[in-house]
Amino acid sequence: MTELKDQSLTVQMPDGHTQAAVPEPEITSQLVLFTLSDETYGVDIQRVREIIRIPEITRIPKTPDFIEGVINLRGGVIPVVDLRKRFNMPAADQARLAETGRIVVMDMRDWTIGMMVDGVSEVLRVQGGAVEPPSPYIVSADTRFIAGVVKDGDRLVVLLDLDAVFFDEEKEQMAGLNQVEAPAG
Amino acid sequence: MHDLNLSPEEIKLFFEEAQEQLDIMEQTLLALEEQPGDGELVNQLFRAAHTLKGGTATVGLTDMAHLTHAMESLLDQVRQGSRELTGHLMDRMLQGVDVLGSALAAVADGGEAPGEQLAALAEDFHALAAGGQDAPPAATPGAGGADWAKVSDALGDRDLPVLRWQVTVDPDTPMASVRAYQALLIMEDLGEVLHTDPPTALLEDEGTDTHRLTIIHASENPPEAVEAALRGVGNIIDIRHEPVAPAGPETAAEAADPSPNGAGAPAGPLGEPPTPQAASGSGATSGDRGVGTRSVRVNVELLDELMNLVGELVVDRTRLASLARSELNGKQLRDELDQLAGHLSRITGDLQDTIVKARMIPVKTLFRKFPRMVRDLSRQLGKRVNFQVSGEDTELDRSVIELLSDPLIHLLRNALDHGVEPPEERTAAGKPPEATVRLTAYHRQSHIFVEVSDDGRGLDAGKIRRAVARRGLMTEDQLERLPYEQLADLIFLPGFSTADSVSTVSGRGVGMDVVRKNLEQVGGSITVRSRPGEGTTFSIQLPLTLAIIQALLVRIKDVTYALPLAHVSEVLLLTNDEIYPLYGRQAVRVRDTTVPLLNPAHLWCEEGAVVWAEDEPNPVVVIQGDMEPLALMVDRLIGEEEIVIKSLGPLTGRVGGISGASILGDGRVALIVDVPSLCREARQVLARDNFRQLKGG
Repeated sequence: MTELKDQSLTVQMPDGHTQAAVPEPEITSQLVLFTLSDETYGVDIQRVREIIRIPEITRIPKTPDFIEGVINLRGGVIPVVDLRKRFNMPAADQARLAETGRIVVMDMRDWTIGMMVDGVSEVLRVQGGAVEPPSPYIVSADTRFIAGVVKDGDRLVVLLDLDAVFFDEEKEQMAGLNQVEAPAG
Repeated sequence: MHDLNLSPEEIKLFFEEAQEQLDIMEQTLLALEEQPGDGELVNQLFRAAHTLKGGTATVGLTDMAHLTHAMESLLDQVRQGSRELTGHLMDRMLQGVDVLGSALAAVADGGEAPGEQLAALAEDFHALAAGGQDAPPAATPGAGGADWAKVSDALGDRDLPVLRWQVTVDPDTPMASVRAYQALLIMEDLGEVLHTDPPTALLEDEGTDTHRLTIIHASENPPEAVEAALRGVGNIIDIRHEPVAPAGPETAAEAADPSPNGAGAPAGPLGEPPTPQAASGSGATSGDRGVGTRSVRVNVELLDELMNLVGELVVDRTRLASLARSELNGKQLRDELDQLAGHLSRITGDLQDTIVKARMIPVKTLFRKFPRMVRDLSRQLGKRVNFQVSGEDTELDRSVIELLSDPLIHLLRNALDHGVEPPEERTAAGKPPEATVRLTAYHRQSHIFVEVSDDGRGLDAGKIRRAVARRGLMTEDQLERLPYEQLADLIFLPGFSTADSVSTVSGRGVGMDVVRKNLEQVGGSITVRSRPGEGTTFSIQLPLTLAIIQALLVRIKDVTYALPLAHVSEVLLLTNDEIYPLYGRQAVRVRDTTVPLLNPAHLWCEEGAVVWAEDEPNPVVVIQGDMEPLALMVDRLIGEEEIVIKSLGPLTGRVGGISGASILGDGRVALIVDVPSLCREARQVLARDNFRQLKGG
């Protein structure tokens, strides 16, 4: 699957984080599609650094449940988020995970973070106009994590709001505690 | 992003340099406050403004260029002696520097400079400059006025011929200055105008009726071409030019220059601008305004060295690949590999040393933002402070420097707000009304110390006792018996605050505990010494570099942990009957002291406690945070290793007791234990349990 990232990208994406997942009309973007349970999700390919098989994961004590641990990615230490747990979905079958499970390594702000998913399927080209706002009835992931929905034939692809997935609510804990809060001035 | 029309490298360079000039301006202004009328400082200030003007104009940030230009014009008047740098003007200048700084930061972040604000301020400066026309704005017409230092400064490294042009317009021409201005435009088109007399501001505003214009001009164009172009302007009756050189005729002009202190004495050959700050190449700029914080200037020799080492690595890589394909076997192969490993370890060792060297930058890049902060803050608080900085040349790893910024801001604010008394109170206590606050950095062995000290009122024991007692952390009786030094240390307790009300300066209850926690995460520590009525000193101790530490690797359950050796006092093998009961918990004897024995399960490994073998010795690591030692049960000792610290990224900080991770030789991840915070947590757990037991009977 790693060859996905080698595709040349000619698509101009608008700036910004969450906007990237909801392209403006007339703009084509490419999405990396992956599955969780029987649902299909997509993230902007420009955020995807690479896709790897699941290596040994070191669990870190006293972290929230959905933080699976850290992995060694060519000498770098990268935290891995279990998306199923993040979305409060039942845990995946271990055997299936070992077979098709992947970690999608994403560039998020200043960090690299991995997302553990059931499997990665394909790359989809999307016209910006095809993105619709999410309906709360059609997907099981919490709507706060969803940036939009793309119709691809009969299929629905859920576009993730990665900032919400990785930083929402946990923002302070994930990013803030390691900095001294600036004293008031 | 503002359309700068430059390559990314050029843009980066521009931001760094612009920031540097702003820093110089700010520092020089502050220094001028101490030594008013110092001609060299005024020149330095002028040069910085001039350089900044040139830079901003080059990249098309015209609003910023206009403001710096307006400031420069005023400074020129100061330089010429026709205006005094009053306290008011000083404030305005600092305001200008601030506005320019935030504009620069805005553009660096991809936004737009606040055009209106810049323009309004520029207007003010122009008005000031025009309003103070009581003295002639320039030196005697024709004298030239440009000092060589300024010229060579503006030229930088470029080697361009520099000429002094004198253009005379027919005095009978109506609005002669317009012709002069036209001439100036032509000169700008054909090269670089380094100086004009009268100043360009006056020409642009038609505020002068000069008919003679002197221009110092650097250009690749032959003088004949320039002259021909000038002839195109009407009413010009005379054009002359002569070369400008560091010595010779220029010194005569220098002598005629009325500005104090000889206006930047002739300084060396081209390419060696005499501004000490600009030339020192002091590395990355301070992070204060958020510009250029992620880059560092590296000595070319170091880069060459790195390149050589990488070259050797590449050779080794090829060698390794060929060994993998070779027909060698058994002992031969092992010998080859052994040799290769030896070579690799030498190269990686050298690489490590060189990288560490390359990452070192002088602490002045951080310190230089503090004089301004202290000045503003002491004014705001109505206190008189003599701020002394020393050890600015002490070198530190850049990651350490970044980390120091917030704690130092915090400590300095504390010193000014809580430590230093108002002048009346000081006088009443028999002290000089002006307090002394010191910021010092120095090396000692493999550590860096940074200290903030004041000669203020010292920590208030009563207040600390009340604050601790209020939170129920210790009884009043315990507190009474605590010696003053230990009492002082209590200010590092989480959430500790003596402030009766939130003050605007120290504000919002961000405590010393956060400062301590942040420093400890990187293997540093902070201590406080205080004497009532005499002052307080905070001392920060940091490792030279954060990247690599010696650690003891242990195994707890199926995770490998690294305990930094600095915090490991000994390793014991104990049998079950060497455990003693202690207040319902367990303890072991380490030499003559009783040390509480901790099972990691109680602290962080919810999943499973270390289970001791009945019939054989079990490993225990005695760890030492900042107070008394603790004995930690582990499943297995692995051994000592030099480990490279990696941040846990977005996880760092949320994981109590873990400060980072490291990749081991076998590719596994080891978690680095934050011993001081672990020990503190253990103390709390023990105290809570003891409390429960006491309560429950």
